[in-house]
Amino acid sequence: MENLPPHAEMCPAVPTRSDPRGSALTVRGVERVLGGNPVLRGINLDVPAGTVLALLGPSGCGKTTLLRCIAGLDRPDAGLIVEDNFTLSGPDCFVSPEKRRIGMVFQEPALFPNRTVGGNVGYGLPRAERKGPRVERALALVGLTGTADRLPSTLSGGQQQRVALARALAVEPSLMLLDEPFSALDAPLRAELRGEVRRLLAAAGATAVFVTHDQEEAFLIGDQVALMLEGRIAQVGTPADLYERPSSRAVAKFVGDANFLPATAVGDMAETPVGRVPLARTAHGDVEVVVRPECIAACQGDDAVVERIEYYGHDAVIVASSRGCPVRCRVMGHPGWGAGDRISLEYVGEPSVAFERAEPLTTV
Amino acid sequence: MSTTALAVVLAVPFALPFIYLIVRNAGDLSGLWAALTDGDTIAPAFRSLLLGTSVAITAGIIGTGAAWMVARTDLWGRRSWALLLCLPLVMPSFVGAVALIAAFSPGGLLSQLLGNAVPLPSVSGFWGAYGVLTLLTYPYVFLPVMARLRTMPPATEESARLLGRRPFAVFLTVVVPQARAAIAAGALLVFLYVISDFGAVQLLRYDTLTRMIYANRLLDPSVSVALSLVLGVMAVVVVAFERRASRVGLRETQRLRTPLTVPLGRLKALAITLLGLLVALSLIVPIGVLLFWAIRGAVQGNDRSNSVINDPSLILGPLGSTAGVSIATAIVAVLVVLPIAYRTVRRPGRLGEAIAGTVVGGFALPGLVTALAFVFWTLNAPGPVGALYQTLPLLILAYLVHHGALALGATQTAVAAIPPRLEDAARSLGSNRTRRFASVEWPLMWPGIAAGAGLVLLSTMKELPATLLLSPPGFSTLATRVWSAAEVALYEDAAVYALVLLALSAILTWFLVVRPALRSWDRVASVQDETQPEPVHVPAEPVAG
Repeated sequence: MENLPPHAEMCPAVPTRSDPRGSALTVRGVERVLGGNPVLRGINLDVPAGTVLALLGPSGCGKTTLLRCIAGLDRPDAGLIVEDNFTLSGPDCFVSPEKRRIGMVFQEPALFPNRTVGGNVGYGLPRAERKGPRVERALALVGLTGTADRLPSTLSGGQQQRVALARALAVEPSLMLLDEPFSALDAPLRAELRGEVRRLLAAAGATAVFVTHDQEEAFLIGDQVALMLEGRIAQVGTPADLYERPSSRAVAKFVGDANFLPATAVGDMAETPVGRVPLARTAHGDVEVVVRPECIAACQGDDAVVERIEYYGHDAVIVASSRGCPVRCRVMGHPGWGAGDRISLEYVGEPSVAFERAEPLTTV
Repeated sequence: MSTTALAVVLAVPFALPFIYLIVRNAGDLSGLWAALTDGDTIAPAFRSLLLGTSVAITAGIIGTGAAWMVARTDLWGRRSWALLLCLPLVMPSFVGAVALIAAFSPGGLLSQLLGNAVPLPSVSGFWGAYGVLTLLTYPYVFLPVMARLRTMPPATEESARLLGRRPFAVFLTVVVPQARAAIAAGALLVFLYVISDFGAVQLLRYDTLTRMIYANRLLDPSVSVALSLVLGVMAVVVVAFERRASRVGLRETQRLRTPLTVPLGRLKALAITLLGLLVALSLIVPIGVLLFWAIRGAVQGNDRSNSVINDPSLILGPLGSTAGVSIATAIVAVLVVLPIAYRTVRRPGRLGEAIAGTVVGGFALPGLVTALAFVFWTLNAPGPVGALYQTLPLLILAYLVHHGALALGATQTAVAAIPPRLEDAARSLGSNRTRRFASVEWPLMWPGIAAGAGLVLLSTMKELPATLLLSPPGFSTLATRVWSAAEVALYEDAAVYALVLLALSAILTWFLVVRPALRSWDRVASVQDETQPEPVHVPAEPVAG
């Protein structure tokens, strides 16, 4: 419950702003129990106005539940959800979803099948504006000019999802929530829409929370990324923070490919099977150092033995054994070595992070 | 004989009444024309349409509203309401009408309560029929709309709420349009029920087509036959629309997730009062009135030796006849329908559709019309056909034609549930046709077939007009006993027979309709438990601290 915005007032809490730009979202100590299982265990989050937060996590970690709590589709058992100075949800205060002015896009387009595209987009607008320039503008924004009179069922899946986006944006919400909106689409379309949504959210200046289980998507869309694991926020930061300076072993493991190399640390330097690795935070004694595969360079040498090559096309991973420890090393193109070749490995990246050893070192 | 030939032959009886009506009218076109243009017949047709439309609209509104309250709000005991609101299906329309008349009759429950000084309004005519039929038919809308609400994607309703619309506006603009097909299908079934109804309009003296057909059957058979054709065509058209509507409804289903629950807040008491009133008027009050008459009749006694009050063993005859003829019909229906189900499921196509459509056409034709067609046909026919008049085989044939479609649906589902690969597997293991049926198909199918047979049993038990017209002399069922006692205003006797019939039909309904429905409800609930464990409560108003 610490760090409440200084002038957060309690009920009544109907947001009435003339400024169409986004507002800041604050989540404090939110908890939710569903069917006896704690799904959210004390969530704290700050999303500054006009920024996009990507909420990343494996399925079942509670990210959708958190999003539904912010939208008002679910009610937290404890904690506060505050938008700018308005409490949306608190111990004795709950603003119903229709009064929150929050836009939401779901996994499925969830269009009203009985209404035309224009009727869908205009649904949230004041009566007088339901047919008119605001609808056309919203449709133009998502590149669907001229489809207002068609029925949703005549559009493709990607187009339907664009209509859903237009419908949510048309009401100029103070906060946009996107719940894995591209997960039902195929890969090329997903990449295209991802860029488009990034551009649209930036243009609208909206504050947004984007839920995804895809790390790549989270990194591309989020100004900040919050990684959620088992009902808790494991780490919040820029994509680079999460990738280069993970706060825990679990974060390092979920975000990208990582070697956890046994090492002996002395201050800001650690001795590892791939040589000396600089540390961002000082450590001492037996530790595990997170080393990303692309931060290791391989060259002709005699330190390690290639066990196998995983060839992906534009890059490849050399799985080698160095001083009895398996090491993954990523190189561009085909490495030109094969199993059994002897090579040398060298750390070439930025200062990394070290954690206490999770389990005793097993010698091969 | 091939399955196709067998199925076609078995489907023929279902078309007989309609063919007879067409042939008979075609032979007497001037009579048909005279009947159709006569004001005396146009008026009843108009009354049938008026009653059917009014009841269908009212039942549509009540059924949809009740379904929404049970499926989407935070009402207490939603499961119990879902059950209670289906129960009026148990009550045949003539029993409802008897209860209404008995309640308002001199010396009835109301005059006893209010004292004889207060003049009671007449319940005969449009308003009585409208009230009774609406209260008994709204479940035909309630059930399909409940089913539709359960499969509706919750995200559309959530989107609508987030876009700023209040729960009731969401109901009108998002829920109702998506449930349109289910509501239409249900309302059309209600319309069919009402225009086909004989018992309630006859007892309440509202001159619809069925009442005119019945009244003219002896005096002026050509009018009767002409009106039967009119009613038959109306019914078949309605069923065609109903089938189209329910097919549309099936197409739009999606995966299951717990939908948003609308908190009723201060309106909760009002909602419970309304639903309670509905259940009370359609179920508790009629049964209460019948119990009142039966108990008072038993306490006071009477001097009629043929009264069931004086000699309870008199119930055994009609009870035995009802059970015997219903069970016989159920068995015959399953035997006839099974080959048809096989043919239509295994080799779908035009012919299959035509065969199934013929069986459904038999169901569409009002029971009174079916029975009259058989009466006229056998009365005028020489030889063996004529000998069938007022015999049990003909009665069972009429029941079969009218109720066979109920067994067909269930049996088709049962046949469709057997994977054809299973048959291939049995065949590749060297099993012959008979052994395959006995060892593989029958064990898988019989629960579905039993359900179909049960539905036929249930409807046959409550059938009134066909039994009245086609029974052998001296043969009476519980339904005809209720009828004849009510016609001579012996309400205490009518009440006893009606209560026995209701008890019997309630037991069967429980095993055949309610329990399977509750099971599927629980299955849905357990699926939801895995994905999203709890219904979500979202207040419509900010909760002030």
